[in-house]
Amino acid sequence: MNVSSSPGKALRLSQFINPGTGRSLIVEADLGSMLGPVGGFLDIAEAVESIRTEVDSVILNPGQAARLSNSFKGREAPCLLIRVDWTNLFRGEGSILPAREVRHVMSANAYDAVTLGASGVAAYLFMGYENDEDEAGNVEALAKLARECDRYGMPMLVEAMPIGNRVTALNYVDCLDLAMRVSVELGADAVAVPYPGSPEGLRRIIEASKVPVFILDLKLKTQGLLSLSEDVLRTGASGFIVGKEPFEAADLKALRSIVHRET
Amino acid sequence: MSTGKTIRLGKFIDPEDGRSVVVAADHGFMLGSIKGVIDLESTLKKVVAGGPDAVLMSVGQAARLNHLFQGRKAPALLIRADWTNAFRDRTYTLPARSIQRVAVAGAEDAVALGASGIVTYFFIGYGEDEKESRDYELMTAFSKQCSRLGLPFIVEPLPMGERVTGANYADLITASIRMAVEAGADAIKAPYSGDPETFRKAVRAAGNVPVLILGGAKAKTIRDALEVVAEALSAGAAGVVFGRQVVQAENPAKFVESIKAVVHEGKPVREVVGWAWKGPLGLKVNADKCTGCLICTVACSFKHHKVFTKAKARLRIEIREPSSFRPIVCTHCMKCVEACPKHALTHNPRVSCVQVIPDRCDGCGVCVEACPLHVVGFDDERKQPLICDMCERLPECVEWCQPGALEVYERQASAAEG
Repeated sequence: MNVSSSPGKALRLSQFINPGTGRSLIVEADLGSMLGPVGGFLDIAEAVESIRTEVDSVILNPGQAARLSNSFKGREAPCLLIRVDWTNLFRGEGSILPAREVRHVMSANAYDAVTLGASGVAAYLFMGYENDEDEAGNVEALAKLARECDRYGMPMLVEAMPIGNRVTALNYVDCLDLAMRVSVELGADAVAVPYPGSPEGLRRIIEASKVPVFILDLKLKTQGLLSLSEDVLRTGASGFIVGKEPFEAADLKALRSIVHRET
Repeated sequence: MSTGKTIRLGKFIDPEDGRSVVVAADHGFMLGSIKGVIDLESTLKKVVAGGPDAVLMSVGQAARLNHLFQGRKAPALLIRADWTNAFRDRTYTLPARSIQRVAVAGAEDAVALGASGIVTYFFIGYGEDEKESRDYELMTAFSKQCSRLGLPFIVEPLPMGERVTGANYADLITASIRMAVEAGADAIKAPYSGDPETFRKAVRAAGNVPVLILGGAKAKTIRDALEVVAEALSAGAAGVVFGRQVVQAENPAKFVESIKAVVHEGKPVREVVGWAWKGPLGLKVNADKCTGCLICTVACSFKHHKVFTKAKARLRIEIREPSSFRPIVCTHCMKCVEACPKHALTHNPRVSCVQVIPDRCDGCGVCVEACPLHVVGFDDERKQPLICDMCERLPECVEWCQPGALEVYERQASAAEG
């Protein structure tokens, strides 16, 4: 079921993608489950409260969503997306407990997201696992999630990412295309992808996707970010998912005004 | 067979002739945005214009592009219910290291989408026996779901994996087809074994379950693809499921129409290839492929005069050096038409060829002189010029040219006028 044939999906999607601008600024405040407290999210209640007026949507794990429900009350509040999976992928070399092999498991389902009053679910699809069996397991789990989402009219956002040593600078965009395309074919209503490094690469992804494409993990501290994000939006991206990199309230404000063309 | 299965199967297997032309458009799911499916909607619009019996899609795309399947005249929708990495070969950006296959949708999801059936793979030939048994188990689970809902179950049995060899390939096709039928398949999508003998056996093994052949990688020419279809039909196939062949074709609608003419109307391939061209035609010369065998010239004279002589051919072979040849064919330059004092020559714009009006022609031979290429001959018996008439859109010279030095191409309307 896609948005045009599912009223539930259309309605909920309009809560996190602004129907006026067709865009969205999403903060992921869900990394605690994968990394422990990082960035500005040590006190998550305070962090979410401080950003709620700047963003369209916040991704949370089910446990925190239940705790922080007050931040999502009212029509002025951002909408809630539920992280329904878990991975150790982001525990790199420098982290407290580096991942030795990439693992991915589901942690919640579409029904849980309905219970929590969410407007969507977010899950990862990785391509480039060392073991093909893990990749197939990831596809299978996301397909199952997609069918549940169809049933409940719950939008599904897939963060499609090439990972691992088999992905090189040379085949990066091809691998990204595969991850994006598998997500769309299995029923994603929106995808999020890392910036592929060039406007041409991004254009390729956006042209083939036919669903809203968000850009993951732009480093908000990087110089020239704002002009890059303008380019990215001009290429056809629907917004950004930030939160993995530390940011200040001012960064978010600036990004928000670009996303929703408030300048 | 249950009522639901009978009715739904009848939506994509023609109840009149028991045959079917299905287009597969699920490549993006397995291989990413490959040529032809990058903008799936625009390709499918062209495909649907050709009027296939069904289109095979992933769940996500079927939901997104549902509008293409509305109405009774629209093709039926088939849903790909599984996913595999098996087609990511060594040349692919992320090659499969071990074959994986998982279920991604159930019969219920397909019913909710308004589909007329689901399609799943069934691989045999794995290095690990465990995978084969899991595949069989999965197949029977799908089969039961489909029976409950009255949804046709189409199985795509494929020899796949380390234990597949050239020697056991055809037998594995037959065996896997039979295993799928035993598990409850209502139709089969299988590779063509390569020769009618072995394929006939595979069809017999399927009993009354229709066997559709799959297209695989793109054939070199439309004609090559259609020849395989015709051969498979003669060996008992019930039709085709073509994917890349169609979605990567220059003109998907025309190609689908051509396949339908062969499958549903039983037209000979030769006729269909000529018929598939709609606009004015021309002859394309690939001089480097010409071996100077002269078969084109005798084929031409036999077609028109029932004699084998290059003297009465309406094209000629120029010998440039001992081993360098060039077919010289009529280019419809109109010099002869302009030169004719009796206005006995006329240009036929539909075919794009020059025609002789016998009543007006007095056999003066001015046209022969006027031809800059010296391909206008003269028939001494009938006292009339010999000018290429494109053999009613099926040029005999092209038909007989084995090396491929001569080809038919579709001329732009403006070029034909000029």
